[in-house]
Amino acid sequence: MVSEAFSPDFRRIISVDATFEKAATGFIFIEGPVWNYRDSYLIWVDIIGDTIWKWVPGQGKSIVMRPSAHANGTTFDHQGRLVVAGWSNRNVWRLELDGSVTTLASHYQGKKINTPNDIVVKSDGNIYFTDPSNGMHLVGHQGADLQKYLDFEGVFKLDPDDLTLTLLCDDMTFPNGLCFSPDESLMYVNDTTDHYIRVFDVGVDGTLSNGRRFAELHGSGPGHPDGMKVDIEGNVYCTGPGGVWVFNPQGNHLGLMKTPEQCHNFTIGGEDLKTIFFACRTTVYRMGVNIPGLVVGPAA
Amino acid sequence: MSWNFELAAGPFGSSLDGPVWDGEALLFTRQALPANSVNNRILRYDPSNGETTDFRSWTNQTIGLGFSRSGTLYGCQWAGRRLVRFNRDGTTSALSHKIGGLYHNRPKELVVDSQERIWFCDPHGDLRDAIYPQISD
Repeated sequence: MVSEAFSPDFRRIISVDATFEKAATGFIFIEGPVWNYRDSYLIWVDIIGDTIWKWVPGQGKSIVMRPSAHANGTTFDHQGRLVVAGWSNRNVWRLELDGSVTTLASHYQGKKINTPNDIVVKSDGNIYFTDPSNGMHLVGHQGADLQKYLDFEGVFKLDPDDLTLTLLCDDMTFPNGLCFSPDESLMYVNDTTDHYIRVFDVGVDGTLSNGRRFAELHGSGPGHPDGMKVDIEGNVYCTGPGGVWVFNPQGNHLGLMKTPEQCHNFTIGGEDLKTIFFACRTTVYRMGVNIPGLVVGPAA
Repeated sequence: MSWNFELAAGPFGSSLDGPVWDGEALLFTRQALPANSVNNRILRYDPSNGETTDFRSWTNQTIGLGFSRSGTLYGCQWAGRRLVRFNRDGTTSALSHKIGGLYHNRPKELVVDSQERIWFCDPHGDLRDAIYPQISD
């Protein structure tokens, strides 16, 4: 079996006979998958291969952008534009519908930010991203500047209209994956180094408060907290040792999807939002699930 | 004859390396774990006042340092498995990181000759603690 249930509830999400299927392969280090719901296609990046890829069911893969400044996390805003955590480029940028690139953030209080890693857009259009420093420590990093300036690794809110950056959290060791609960009353942020997920209350002004530990992810097998998503019921999926861990909204560990290679990120997509696409180093795998994920980007 | 050692600076509580003279003061490196710790630094000891100050932080376990004749400062970045240049404007540039298509092992010490060529040693070291994400080659 490629999944392991720790609670009977897990089988509501993943059937016992679910399997991994290869969607696309031949990459070096893939990350940042996102499903465009309106137009039914998958986007992901090959960080080391320096490319943004697209996969259309029945058509296969094609290149969206190369080089991509070693882009990392991606998402869509409500206008259907790809919004990118620029990692080695040390910025957040948007791919406009005409193919041009707009830089949205590169400095906080006059200092160059670290290496934006993962990114989500809230229903009000605000962009949230994590800014750990690992991109500048990475072997093979080829960005223009390896020097770290901020004395923290933060979680930021970015207003896409006036480009204001608001620092939301500065005390995590390695903030990485982030996602909202379905009603956006909560935000989850995981820590790759310290192996846990923190959950915050989201205020009416979009800031985060009352951060507390939601779950820890310790175990054997390759992998650590990195990519993280929720489904429409609020179950939390997070990469960890051995694959993708699934928690219910109370933080109970329901089960594990044992990915064929180390999984760094994934997204819940497909036309019915019931396929998980796993970004595992060299290969995009997919697996059918029973509970849909959330729409990213415009619904129609 | 006997040698008389004098404590110039420290102790600093972690390993030190890379001493190099900048014309007025001594630069040297300090290493710490993890690689992204702020305590990976270049320190500067000024013998005129005996003070040691931070010259550069977050050096990603830079060990060996070397100046070119024109005064450019280079470093061997152990954790980054590459050479870097510490620019005067405070930025840090990545230099060589591969040879024959393969990543360097663990560049450790360097010296710059009169033609501005950098010579460095690249011991195999222990790659297991290289910071995530590691690359297979």
